[in-house]
Amino acid sequence: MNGQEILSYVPILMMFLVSLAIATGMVVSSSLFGQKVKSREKLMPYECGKDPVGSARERFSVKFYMVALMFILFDIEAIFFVPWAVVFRKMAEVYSKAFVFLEMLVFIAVLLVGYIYVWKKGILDWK
Amino acid sequence: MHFIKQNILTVVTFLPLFGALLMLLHSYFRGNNPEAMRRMALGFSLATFLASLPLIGWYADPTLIVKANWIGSLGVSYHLRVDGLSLWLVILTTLLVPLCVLASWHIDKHVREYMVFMLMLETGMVGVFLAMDMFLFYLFWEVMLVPMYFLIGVWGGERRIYAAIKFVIYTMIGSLLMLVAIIALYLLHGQSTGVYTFDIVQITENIARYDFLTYQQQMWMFAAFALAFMIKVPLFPLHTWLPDAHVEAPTAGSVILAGVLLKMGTYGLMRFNLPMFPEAAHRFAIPIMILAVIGIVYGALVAMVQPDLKKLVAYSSVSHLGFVVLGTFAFTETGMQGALYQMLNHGISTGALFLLVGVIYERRHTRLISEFGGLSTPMPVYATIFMIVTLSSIGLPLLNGFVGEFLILVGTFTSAHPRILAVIATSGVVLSAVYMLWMTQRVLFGRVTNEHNKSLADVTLREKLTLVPLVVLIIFMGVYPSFFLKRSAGQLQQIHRLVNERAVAGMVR
Amino acid sequence: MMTLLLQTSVLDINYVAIWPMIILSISGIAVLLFGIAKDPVHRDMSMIGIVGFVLAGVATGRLWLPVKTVGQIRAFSNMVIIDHFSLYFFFIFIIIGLLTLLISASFLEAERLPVGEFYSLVMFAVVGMMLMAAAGHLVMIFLGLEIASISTYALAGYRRNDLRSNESAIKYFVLGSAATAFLLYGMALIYGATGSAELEGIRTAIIDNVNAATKQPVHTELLFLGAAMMLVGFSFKVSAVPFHLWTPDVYEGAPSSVTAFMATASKAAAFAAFLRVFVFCFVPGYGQGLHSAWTTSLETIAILTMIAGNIAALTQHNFKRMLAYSSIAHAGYALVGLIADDWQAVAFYLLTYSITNIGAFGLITYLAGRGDRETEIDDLAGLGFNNLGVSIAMLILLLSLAGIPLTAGFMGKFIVFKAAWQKGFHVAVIVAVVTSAVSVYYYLRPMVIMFFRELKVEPKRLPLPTGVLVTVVLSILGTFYLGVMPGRLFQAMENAKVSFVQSR
Repeated sequence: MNGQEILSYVPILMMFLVSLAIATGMVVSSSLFGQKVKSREKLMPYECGKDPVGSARERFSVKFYMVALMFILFDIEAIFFVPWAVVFRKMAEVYSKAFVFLEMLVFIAVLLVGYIYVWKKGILDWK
Repeated sequence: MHFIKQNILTVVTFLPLFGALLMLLHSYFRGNNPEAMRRMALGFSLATFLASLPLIGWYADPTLIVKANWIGSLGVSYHLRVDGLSLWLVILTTLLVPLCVLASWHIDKHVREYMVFMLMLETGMVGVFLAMDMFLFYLFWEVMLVPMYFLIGVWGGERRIYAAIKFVIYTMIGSLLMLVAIIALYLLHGQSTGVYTFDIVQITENIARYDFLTYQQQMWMFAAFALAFMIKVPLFPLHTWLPDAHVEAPTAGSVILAGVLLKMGTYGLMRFNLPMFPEAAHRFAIPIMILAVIGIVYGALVAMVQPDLKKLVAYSSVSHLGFVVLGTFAFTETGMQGALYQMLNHGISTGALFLLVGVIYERRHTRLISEFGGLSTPMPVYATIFMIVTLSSIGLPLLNGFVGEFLILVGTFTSAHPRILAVIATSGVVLSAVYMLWMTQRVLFGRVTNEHNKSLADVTLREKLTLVPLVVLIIFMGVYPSFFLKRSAGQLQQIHRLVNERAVAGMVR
Repeated sequence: MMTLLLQTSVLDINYVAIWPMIILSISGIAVLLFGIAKDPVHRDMSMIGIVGFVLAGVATGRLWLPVKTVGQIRAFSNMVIIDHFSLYFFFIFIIIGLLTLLISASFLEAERLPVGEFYSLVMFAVVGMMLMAAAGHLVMIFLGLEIASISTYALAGYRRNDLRSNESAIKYFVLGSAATAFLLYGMALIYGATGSAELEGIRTAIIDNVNAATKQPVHTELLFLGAAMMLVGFSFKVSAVPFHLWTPDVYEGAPSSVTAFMATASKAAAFAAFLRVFVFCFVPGYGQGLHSAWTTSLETIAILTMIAGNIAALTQHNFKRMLAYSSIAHAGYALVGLIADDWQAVAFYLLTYSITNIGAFGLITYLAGRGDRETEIDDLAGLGFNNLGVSIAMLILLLSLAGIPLTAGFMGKFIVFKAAWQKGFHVAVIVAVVTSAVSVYYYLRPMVIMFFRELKVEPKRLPLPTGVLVTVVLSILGTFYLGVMPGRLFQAMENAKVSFVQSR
């Protein structure tokens, strides 16, 4: 590994430093200049809106799981857009552009079916 | 004529099955009528018997041979053929089945199924004797278990479930090992001749010609085949299924078991073990003969103390079949002829004995010897027939039993094996006289001691119809044995030649 | 992974090759969408399912001749290999899938369970199984396995309100995942050892003893470890002893029609992948004795499986549980064919076993009655002469499972025993034979109860649903056809051997 290669990592180092600076700056400035209301809820450790102290055997609504599942599914499926975009040009050399585009449309159609299914099953319905 | 000859073996084999199917159709469209079922079963089994009779004249005719490709890529063929060895066994089978149907006339539980199983069983048994393809042979051999299982299991006595399962498991273990031997033989034959076939005739010939089996292989295969057949025979230590099955089976089931099924074992020994593995046969001869002799004496001794008539007859079967094995492994022509003859005798006499036991069981619903006594007074005809059959079973000259036992003993005496075997076996003849005569004395003669026996009706017309043909045969076979022997002599000579020639050659090697 | 995919410059997209899978996926989705309509009509969904399976079958059939001429069709950069091997298994899966739909219809109706999801899960599972059989790449095997497994996990727990069904699903899921982990680990190690995840590449690497990526000799320890891991994973999936413990509980708890599907199609799929990897890649004579190592260990596993499966089945009182143990034992018999390196024997065996078993389970779904509850063998008491048709059908199917001649079961066993004896696995064959004789005992038990026991109470049974009737009739016809006239199929498979060899 020569010096040239190490130099190529400098931008990453810079990004780290900048993000660190921004994060620290936000926390510090809010504690310096922000309004402080000291209520019970405000002083609790942050736990996504849940009471951090109490029985662990609490029942959650199944809807949380449903949403979590759907999030994971659609999130991961959306990731497939990225490789498709990367190889689009290369594939289009072999096949026609329309074909490659259609391939993705089919994929989206399948996603859509899943979406319709979820919708019709009432999982998006929070009443 | 040619057409008839071409198809007669197929007809004899499958006519009963066809009849069974027709019965099912009939009951489907016309309702389940027991009387019609009985008549149809009788009709079809009689028709099969009649169809099998021409075989006596034609058995040597090569146009009878049926051979057609079945599963080509495996070398399995549909190959039926009748020869001197199987001829009489086939006819014995086709004769006994109508008699059994007749003897089961009184059965009123699930008549249709009973008769259908009976006919299916007949197809299986005839098929075993006629199949000349190992695959086909195995198929019939196994398929036959199913109807027999049900005959014992549904229509049998108190411990019928136990007996039925025991019967099937015993037979299955033996026959599956035989399947392995069949596969091994098929592969070895294929590897050395390049022809992959299950054809028994071809394999037997090629073994004699090319001698491709090593001694070791012969021994293993002999053992596997012999185990299957000896369980069926049954030879002494493997016989324990037999008393159970015989006792629990309905009368007709016992007749079929004793008359035909046991013969399939000895038939197999003659068809496979002797001509195919001659050296191993010679090597195993003495141990097997010793077992046979033990069976003869043991069977007789146990029969002597049985309080139950059916059990007595069952153990006498162990003893009689010991004779058959003894004669088979004497490796003399006389011995083998005697063995074959004794198979027929046993089928007829023991069949008749079971029928006779069935007759009084139907009347009294017991088979205990102590319950009877002096039956000759109320049932004179019955007693006469009983006596003739008993004497045949003992081996009285001029009746069939004598011919078989005599030939076997002569054959064993003149064989190369130690004479002591024949000597001990002869004692079995004496013992059989003891237990049979003692039994007849207790059942038939003396004063009528039990009140129930005083008013017993004599044999009915239907029962006469089942018994008289057998009695006629007993006498006919006793006075004119050459009618039977001359037709089987050729085939037995060939087996005799194969088992001895090759073995001698093997010893030189 | 992308670089692996793009190794060949052309992506090799070939929809014709995967037409059967596409058809099934589309019809699966269609059924799913129908199921969420306002008033779903059961009959319509059944029709879509049936038509989907039939069309998939036609598509598979249309591939047969082209494959015959070219030997095999490769698609998606060797990810999918369509040869007679895969087509043969496609047929098994399609037939079983179709029959599963047929036997589930009445059960779903009676239990008021959602129909659309059930049917589409079955169809998706079949797609996964097809991918397993047609896989030319370890990753494809894994993907197919996951598609098939996840669908089946869901199916096993389909009776949501039934505790047994839940238990079954959870057990199946947890243990199945463990097995998958083993499998995946093995795949990774094999990839490391040979430098390729393509089956063809693995095979070449082992034969040439050159790692495809590093050009070094193949790392033997890694190879062996990987093979062992995969062996364990597959053994789990085919439920071979000692990895069989999940089977009885899962089979007992799952709805009967799902059990039928698991015991037949899932098992056949696992065997297809098993054959692809072990028989196709780990060939004799190379890889420092890899072949003899896996055959020896599998021989031991097969023997244990046959013994344990059959003996455990002897003591069962529950029909489904008994058939679960019987299916373990049957896996043992199929393994005997596998160690003989004879894919035809294994494939034929699996066909005979599946055809028979689906019919038997079809009858169980019917006999189990409401709530799928009456699955004890004693519940059959007196059925024999009361319902002669059903009991004779059951009799024939059980005889086939026991391997009585004239039935498919016998022919399958015969072919396997022949293959194994030819290759010299004498001990395995003898154990197989003796255990088969033992197995007759427990196959006879239901018959004893059905025919030999007198009936105490007249049970009220509904008429036989059409779907079950059709399945049982087809199953019995198949049993007899394969048992009496397997000649044409043997011929077809004999020719198929050519294509399998060509790819070597």
